[in-house]
This record gives sequence, structure tokens and C-alpha cells, in this order.
Amino acid sequence: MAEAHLDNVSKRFGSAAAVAEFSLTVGDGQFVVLLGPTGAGKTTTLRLVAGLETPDTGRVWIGGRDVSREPPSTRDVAFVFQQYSLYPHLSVYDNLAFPLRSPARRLPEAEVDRTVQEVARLLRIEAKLQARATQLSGGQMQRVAIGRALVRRPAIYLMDEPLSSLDAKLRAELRIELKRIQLDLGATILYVTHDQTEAMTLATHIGVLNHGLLVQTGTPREIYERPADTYVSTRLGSPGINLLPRAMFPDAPAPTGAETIGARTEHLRIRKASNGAATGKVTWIERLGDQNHLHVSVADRDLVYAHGPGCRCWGRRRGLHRIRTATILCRRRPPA
Amino acid sequence: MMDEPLGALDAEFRHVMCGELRALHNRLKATTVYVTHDQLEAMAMADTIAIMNHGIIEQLAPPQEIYDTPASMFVADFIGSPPMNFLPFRGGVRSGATTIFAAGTRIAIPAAREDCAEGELILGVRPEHVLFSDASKLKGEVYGTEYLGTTQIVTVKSEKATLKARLPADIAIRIGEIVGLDFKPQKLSVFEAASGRAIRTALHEVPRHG
Repeated sequence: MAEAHLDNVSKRFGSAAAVAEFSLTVGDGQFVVLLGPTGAGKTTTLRLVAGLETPDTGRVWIGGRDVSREPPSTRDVAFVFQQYSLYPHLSVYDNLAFPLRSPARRLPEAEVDRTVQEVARLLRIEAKLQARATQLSGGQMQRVAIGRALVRRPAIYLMDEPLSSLDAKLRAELRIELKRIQLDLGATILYVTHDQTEAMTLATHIGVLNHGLLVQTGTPREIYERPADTYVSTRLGSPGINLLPRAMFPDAPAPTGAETIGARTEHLRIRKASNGAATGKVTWIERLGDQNHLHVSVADRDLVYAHGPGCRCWGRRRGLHRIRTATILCRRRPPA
Repeated sequence: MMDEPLGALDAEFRHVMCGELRALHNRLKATTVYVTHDQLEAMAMADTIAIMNHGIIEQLAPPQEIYDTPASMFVADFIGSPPMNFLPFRGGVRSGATTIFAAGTRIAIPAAREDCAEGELILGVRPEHVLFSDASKLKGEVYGTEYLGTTQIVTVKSEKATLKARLPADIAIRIGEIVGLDFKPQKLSVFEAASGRAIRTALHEVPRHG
């Protein structure tokens, strides 16, 4: 395992800048997740590290070596693609063994077997080793695709939304397995997703992307608790953060010049209306079982508040409630 | 009639569209039958959910009732993220019983309202009803933690089962730590392992509003 480093990298496709002046360090043993919507430049960044794209400007370093002009084969990376690209004519075993039998490595067959068995056990596909790749379910195929990367011990693993094609239950299961495997191996991983739950639960560090720019990097907790701007604040949290005008919270300790207050659900307190102050109307209750999302309309603004399940008394009727704020995140609006 | 109209959208936009569709339904005072495999969509939008399995409706009830008092293990597993934890044990339940003996310890449950012969049973616990308690005899090892901002999901491997607990995000927990597990007694479900059917308890008598 080794450190990877992007130094002021830019890449354009035609007139569109895919990534611009991008600098990021993936430390040895770190699990870095790039989070952003479709088209933010996440996959391009991965491909630049892998060597599938060459940067227009800037440099890519892996393990202290400048690999900017090197082909993918000499960079010592393993890539897991979004679409499980397995060899359909080979068995699961041979798919897993394939990278180890490449002429560049030429491992003894006993060593290949030991590694394949170990990875199959890790991903719980031992029983499927003799099956053809095409006979597997989607979840099994994706596990084989991840396994084909794990059989090697490259400088860095690159993963492009490896869980996004799986159903919700399997995704949750593999998420915790992947994190566990990463900790066990001490693996360095650069991982791309648009799923905030994956980013929060897997990452040691998250990089938030927007339009090819790296807006903020930090631990999941840092990004959640101290977002650099309103864009980052909306990327994490369920229900999403409420961005409200400063004037709605006259008592909030916001710095002068602040225009927008970002209040996460745990920063809001909602009380039954007694007198004055901000008065809201519960317009809709989403009952999600473990919590209820109250949609409250206050002075033409909608905000969402998560309440524990013990609030049946709120019922379907629309009531008037006073909203009090506890802690509040204060953010100046970022320059347009 | 709507057949998975949001199935192809990404999670974020799907959630926005849930709100829009429900608002439209309210505005038009419409009658809607909506089909989905996404439990969050069902919970977020429905007045009444019919949970189907192999052509049979396993439960027909409002979302909160389905969540709190699942009629079967299938329903309990299908609704909720992470789903309900299942702790297998062997025993019988008599009407009026308020405890069971599982995983080497006595566990309080809502008072049973029917008899159930000795056999394989399952205790069902929602992740938010799992508590950490050093005093508890039911011990497990922390296998992983997943930080979600407001809350965190902690996976604990015990001798009998792997359980997930939803705890506030500000509690520090280390992987490999041995913890004691306790459950909120008034919220637990008990199922027959073979049929998956829920055994009637005082949990089914909680008065409901709205």
C-alpha cells in the first residue's frame, strides 16, 4: 500500500472542464471517498489516477513516484468498475486468478490458489468458485469484481461506485464488509460515489466535488458538522439541512453579514405554539418508522424536522407550532 | 395507478419526487394505488401499505403500525433500514407472560396475549430499541460502526446473532469492544420461527391516533 497524490491536476474534454486545479492526497491506509452528483468529475479523477486519462496540466504521484506519463500497467493500481466487467467465458475461480496469472506477475499456482481461496472467503463466494461468471446474480458478480481487485496488493485500489447496481439490503451488507476488509488489509482506497450514506460510513476522509472542483475535504464528521459552504452542507444529512434566511432567527449568534442559517434537524426544537415567535404549520408528516419527518411551513419557507416515533399526538391535523432553535450552523453565502 | 414510477431515479431526486407526488395527490384529492419495492417510498407516501409476499398480502395497515407491530418476520425484515434484528431462542410463551429466556438471559417483553407451544421462536428488536448496558448478561463484540451524522449504526456480533443498534452519533465506540446489550421491553416483537407469524402481545394494544 502506498500514498497517492494529485497535484494541481486539470483535465478538459473539448470545451468542458472535467476537473480543474485538483489537488488531493490519499494517505497510506486511508479510505478516501469522492462524493458529488453525476458529472462532478469523480470518475475522471479516478481515471486520471489509474492512467486511463492523462492530465492536461498537473501531476499524479503514486508511492512517491511521478506517474503522470506512465501507462496504467506500470502504475500498480487495481480498478473496480461500476459495471462488473467479468470474463463471461471463465469460471469465478479463473476470473479471480486472472490478474495473478498475468505474464507480468507469473505467481506460482499454489500461491494463486491460496490467494483466490482467501479472497473468496472474505467475500463469501467460496461456494460459487466453479460457477461460470454469467451464472451469478448481480450481487455475486459485483463481489467477484471487487474480489478480482482484492487478490492483488496494489499501491492503491480505485473503486467507481462498486455498490450502486446492488439492491438496498445487499448494498448495506457489502458496505460494512468492505470497510472491514479495508481495515484488515490496511488498504489505501480511492472510492467514488453519489450516495451520501456510503460516503459517511466508509470514508476515513471525504472529498466533496462540485463541477470539477474539490470544494472540501475532511473526515465525515468534519464535513457534516463544519461544512465549508451551503453546497457542501446539502450533500450530507438525512433529512437534508434547512437553509433559512438569517432574519428568521433573530436570537441566533450569527456573525454580522451572515445571510443564511443552516440548521440541521438536530439543531431545531419544535414546540406547540404558545405565543408569538416564529409560527409554523405542519403541512405533511413522513412516517419512516424509526423517525417521522415533519414538513413545517414557516413564513413561506419549508423546513424538515426529524422527530422520534413518539409523536403520534401530532396526527394528520395541521397545527400551529412555535419553532425554537438550539444550536445553529451559520454560514455566509458563498460568492456566486 | 402507478407502477414504480420513481424506480429509475437516483436516491436524492426520488425523495424530492415522493414529496411532490404526495402533494399532488393531496391537491387533487385523488385516490392512488402505488406499487414499489422501495420501503422508504412506501413509508413516506402511503396512508395504508399492503405488504405482499408470493401473491399474499401479509399485512395491510398504516405505515407506523406496520413498523411498530409487524404481523410477520417477512414484514419486519422488509420495512426499516437497517431491518429488524432477529434473535432466535427456544421456548414457549404463555398468555400473560412478560419475560422470555433467550441468549442465556431473561428478557422482558410486552405481556403475551396468547399461548404458544414450546418451540423455536424469534425475538424481534428494531435497531433503535437496542441499548448498550454494561450490566447486561448478553454480550457481543463491536464488528463495525457506521456514522450517519445524527445517528450511527453499530453492528454487534453476539454468540447467537448479529445485531445492529442505532445510537446517537456522539457516543464513542471502538471496533472490537465488548458491550452488553439491553432492549426496550415495551417495543419487542416475538415471532414463531417456522411460520414467521407474530405472537399477539400488549404491543398490539397500544392506542393509535391519526
